[in-house]
Amino acid sequence: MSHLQADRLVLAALGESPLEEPEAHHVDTCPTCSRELASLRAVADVGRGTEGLDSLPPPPPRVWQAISDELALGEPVPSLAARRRPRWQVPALAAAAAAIVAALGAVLVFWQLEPAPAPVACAGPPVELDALPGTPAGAHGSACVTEGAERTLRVEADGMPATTDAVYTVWLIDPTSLSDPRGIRLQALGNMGDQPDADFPVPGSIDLSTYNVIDISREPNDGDATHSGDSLLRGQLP
Amino acid sequence: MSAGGSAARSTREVPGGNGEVARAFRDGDEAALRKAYDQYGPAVLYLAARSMASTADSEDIVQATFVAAWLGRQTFDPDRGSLLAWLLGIARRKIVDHYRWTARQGRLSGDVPESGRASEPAPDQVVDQLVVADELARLPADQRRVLRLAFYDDLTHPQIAAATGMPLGTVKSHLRRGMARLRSRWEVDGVAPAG
Repeated sequence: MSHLQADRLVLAALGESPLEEPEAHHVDTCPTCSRELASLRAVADVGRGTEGLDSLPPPPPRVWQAISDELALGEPVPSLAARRRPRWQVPALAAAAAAIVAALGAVLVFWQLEPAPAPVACAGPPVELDALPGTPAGAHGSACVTEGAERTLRVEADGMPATTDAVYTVWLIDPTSLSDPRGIRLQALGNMGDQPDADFPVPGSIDLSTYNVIDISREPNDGDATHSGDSLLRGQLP
Repeated sequence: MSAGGSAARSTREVPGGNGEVARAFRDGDEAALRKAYDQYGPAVLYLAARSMASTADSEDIVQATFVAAWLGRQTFDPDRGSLLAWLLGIARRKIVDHYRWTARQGRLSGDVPESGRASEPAPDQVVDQLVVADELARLPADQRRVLRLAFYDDLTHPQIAAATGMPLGTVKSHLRRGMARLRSRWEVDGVAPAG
C-alpha cells in the first residue's frame, strides 16, 4: 500500500486510533512512515508534558535587580556625560569657527555658524514633583517627557539640600506595585548632577503608562544600588 | 532528526526565532535583555528549580544565566535556534557547573553527597517541554485549542469537534498543522529529538 496520510499518522501518534492492518504492516516495513510516526509520537509525548508551562511564575524582583547590578545596566553616567555638551565647548567651537573664517576670509563671503542644537521641548506641560513629608522646605521639582526621537525624561529639582555623601537618584515606579508583597517594581534612571535639571533616556522596556510615578530619592554612597527608601520628591505623569 | 525537517528548515526562519528581540539582544540593546528576561526568565527559573535543591540556588542560576547570556550575546546565532533554547542551554551548563563545584567542595571537606541528584544534570526532557510549550503558545488560537484538548484532556478528534463545534475536517487539519509546527521547533531547539 502507499504511505499513510499525514492526518492518519497524527491521529495514531496522539494515540486515539490504533493502526490496523494493512496500515500497521506498512508502517512496520516502511522506514519513512515509521520514522514519521516515531517523531510525531515523541512530539505528542513532549506536548502532553507541557500543561501549566504557559503560565509559569516570574522570578522575584530581586533576581532582576541582581542581574542589573552585576551588569551595571542603565548606568546613566557615561551616556549623560556624552549627551551633555560642556559649557566650555560652545565658545571653543565658536573660536575655532572664527579662526577658519579668518583663514578662508578671502574665499568665504558668508559664514553661518552652525547653531548649537536647541534643547528638545517638553511634549506636554511638566508635572509637579511634590515634597514628601520630611523633605526640607523649599525643595520642589518638575518633570516632563521631551519631544524628539529618543524618549527622554527631563527632571528639574530645586532647593534640594546640599549633600556630599549621597546623590539624588531619579526613579520610575509602578504605583500598582507599592503594596505588592512580591516587591515594588521600579527602575532607576540616573542621578541628578550639578545642574538643577537633567535629561534621562527612558529604557525601551519601560512602559510610562505603568511606571508613571517619578521619584527622587537620596541615595547614600554606600554601594547599595537599591532604593534607599528616603524619597524627597514625587509626582505622577498624566 | 529527520531529513524532511532539515530541508524545511533551510528555507524559512527558525521556528520560535522572534527575530527582532533576538537581534536587538545580540546587538547589545539593554531593553532587549529586559524583554528576554520578562519572556523567558520564568522558563529558566522553572528549569533551575527542577534541578536545584533550594530557591536561592535556583535564583542564582537564573542570575548567572542572564549575566552570561548578556556578556556572551555575540555568540548567540539566531539562525541556529531560538533565544529561549540558547538561554536554556546556558542554564543547563550553569546547573552542571554548580554541581561540579559543590561536588568538589564536598570532596575537599570530606562530605559525602547527600543524594544522587547532586551529580545529575537537568533533565533534557524539561528543556524539550519548555521549548514546545513556547511554540504551543505561538500557534494560532484554534490550533492551540485543539492540541490542548488532545494533549491535556486526552480527547479524540470527534470529541474535540463536539467540544468546540468545529467540523471534523477542521479539527484534523488543526491537529496536523499544529503538530507539524511543534515538531519543527522541537527538531531545532529540542535537546535530543528522536527519529
